[in-house]
Amino acid sequence: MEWPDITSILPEVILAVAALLVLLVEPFLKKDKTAVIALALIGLLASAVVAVALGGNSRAAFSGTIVLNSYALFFKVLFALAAFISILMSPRYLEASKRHLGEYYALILLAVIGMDVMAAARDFIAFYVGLELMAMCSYILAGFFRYRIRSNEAALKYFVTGVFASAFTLFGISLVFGFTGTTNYEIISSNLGSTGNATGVAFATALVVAGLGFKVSMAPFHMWTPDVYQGAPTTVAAFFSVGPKAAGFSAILIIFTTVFESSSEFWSVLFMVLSVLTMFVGSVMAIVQSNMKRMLAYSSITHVGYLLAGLAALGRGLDTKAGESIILYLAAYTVMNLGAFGILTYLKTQQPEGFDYSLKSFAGLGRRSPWAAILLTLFLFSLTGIPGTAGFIGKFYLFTSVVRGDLVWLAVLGVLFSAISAYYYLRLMIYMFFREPETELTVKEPIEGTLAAAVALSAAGVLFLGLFPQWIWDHALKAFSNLFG
Amino acid sequence: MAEKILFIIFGVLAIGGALMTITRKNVIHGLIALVFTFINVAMIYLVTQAYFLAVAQILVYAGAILVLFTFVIMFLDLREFREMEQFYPWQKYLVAILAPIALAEFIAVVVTASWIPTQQGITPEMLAEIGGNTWGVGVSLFENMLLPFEVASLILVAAMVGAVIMARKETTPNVALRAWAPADGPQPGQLEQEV
Repeated sequence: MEWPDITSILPEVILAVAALLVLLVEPFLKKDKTAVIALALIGLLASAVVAVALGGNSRAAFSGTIVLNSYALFFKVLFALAAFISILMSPRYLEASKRHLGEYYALILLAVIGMDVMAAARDFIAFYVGLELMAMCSYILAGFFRYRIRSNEAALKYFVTGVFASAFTLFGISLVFGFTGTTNYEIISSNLGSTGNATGVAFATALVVAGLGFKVSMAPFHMWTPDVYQGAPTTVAAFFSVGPKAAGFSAILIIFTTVFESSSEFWSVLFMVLSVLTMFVGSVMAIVQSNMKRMLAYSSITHVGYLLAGLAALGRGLDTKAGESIILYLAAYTVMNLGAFGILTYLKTQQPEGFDYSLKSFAGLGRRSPWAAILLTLFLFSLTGIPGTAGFIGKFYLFTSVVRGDLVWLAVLGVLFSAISAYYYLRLMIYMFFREPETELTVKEPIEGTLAAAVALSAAGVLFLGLFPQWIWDHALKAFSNLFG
Repeated sequence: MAEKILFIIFGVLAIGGALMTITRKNVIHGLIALVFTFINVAMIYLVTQAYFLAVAQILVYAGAILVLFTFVIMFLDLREFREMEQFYPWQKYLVAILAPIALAEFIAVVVTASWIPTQQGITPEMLAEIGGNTWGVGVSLFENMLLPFEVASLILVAAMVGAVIMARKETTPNVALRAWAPADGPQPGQLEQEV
């Protein structure tokens, strides 16, 4: 018997070891959790470094269930970064909420393994197992504050709807298996077109879209998003809003360009319709939210709508530029959304009892803690898509590729919805800088410790991607060109 | 032909059992219907020559897991469940429209599809060639699907950790169940606050 190709999954092995070590060390710690936090951070850093070092490889491993190529590695680094920033945010917040358990860090690491497997999988079984690992950790993390009613509600809603969505994905996969007799992406893609059953392939496509659409909170499968974000711990919501979404899109990109290549005309139209619906629902609902956590949830739905427009363009002639711009947008979205949630985490840590994320509680923030206000403004600018920030670069490339895909009307709609989004982002800024608070909230401390590092990292990412987009674009280009390797 | 008839019989019974499972108000009745469903699914596995899977299905699902389920449910007091109202009464009308559409689509797929594995069929001779049913399952599980198999173990770890987090009693002595030490948890008034 020959040894399995461990190198190809080295980043995941490192994460698994780190997660298990966290679980092992945790019981021996009393109040101070520094050791497990350091372990988790080192594990994530090591996995990202190894992923970077493995760059340039391009091979299949484990009987073709998984690949090692720059596409998978790009996402492995992105997921590690997202988890890294989320973990940096967490300690103070969890302490302030009086539920600081080491298991939290282990679960985040395990979720990252699931995401890595999703991005690297080239086989439906490996993909599904990765998806379930990620989902399982998400359900638990959503209900992490189990004494809080909202957290319970979030976990239960997420679990019930999530299992339902998984069943849809599985049904779609089993149909594809029935048509082709295999679960390997490559073999399916060469067989599926020749089965000559367009209805069946379209049905399977729609089922997989529904299942994955739930994970990335695409309308009309978005209902869980605001409730879960509101009820889940803020740091977990930050992680949810970027990690599983990027993982979902990494899997969508690979599955729809290989497995469902033959039905690309069908899913292009499908994503077109869903994109318009998602952008519409996200924007309209975000306007009426007074809870900023819910507003960010709906804004994340709007961003998914933009990404779906890119997918629609990708389906038309499988234009690679669209795929690259989706990858770029995911990277930009990760840093800016994490940053915005980081500031919310800081504010909640300041006022564990008083702060309720309402628009009113942001009044006077510019005077109270100017740094938090300025940084939040930066992230909101980026989410709106103001030039100089990562959000602008992401939208610029994405909408350009949509225009190139001959979907000018969709790009116009996307820009229109971005303009609407400016309303609900700017409104928050107006409250921060130009409104006087009704009750004066006290500031206990400036942003400091690991939380400061998390926010600084996100801000640096937003500015770096915004001012020097060439670097990330090159990497996105390399990643997508190596999709099939 | 005989296989097809058997498949239809067991399939219908399995779907009937599944419907019973979700429509019974008495949880125990629902559970018994679930056992019935599992056994019928195992029979479908038998029809498709997957003996090992059929036995595993009966042993693990119909046996171990269901017994555990029954125990847990008998420990809980679920009387108030029966009196609960449905949240959205209009939902059932929506379902009445959407479900037939989905069903029609599914039937269209099943009728027009060309199922490669079923066309070729897995015959006892094929199984003998790869060295028997259990051997075949073992090879595909530990060679072709080694990585998903290992990742599945991580799912179990995550689920176990989650179960511990959700169910662990975090109390100091002399404190009632579902309470927490005064300094360690949120106060009762905080329960409904934003997190």
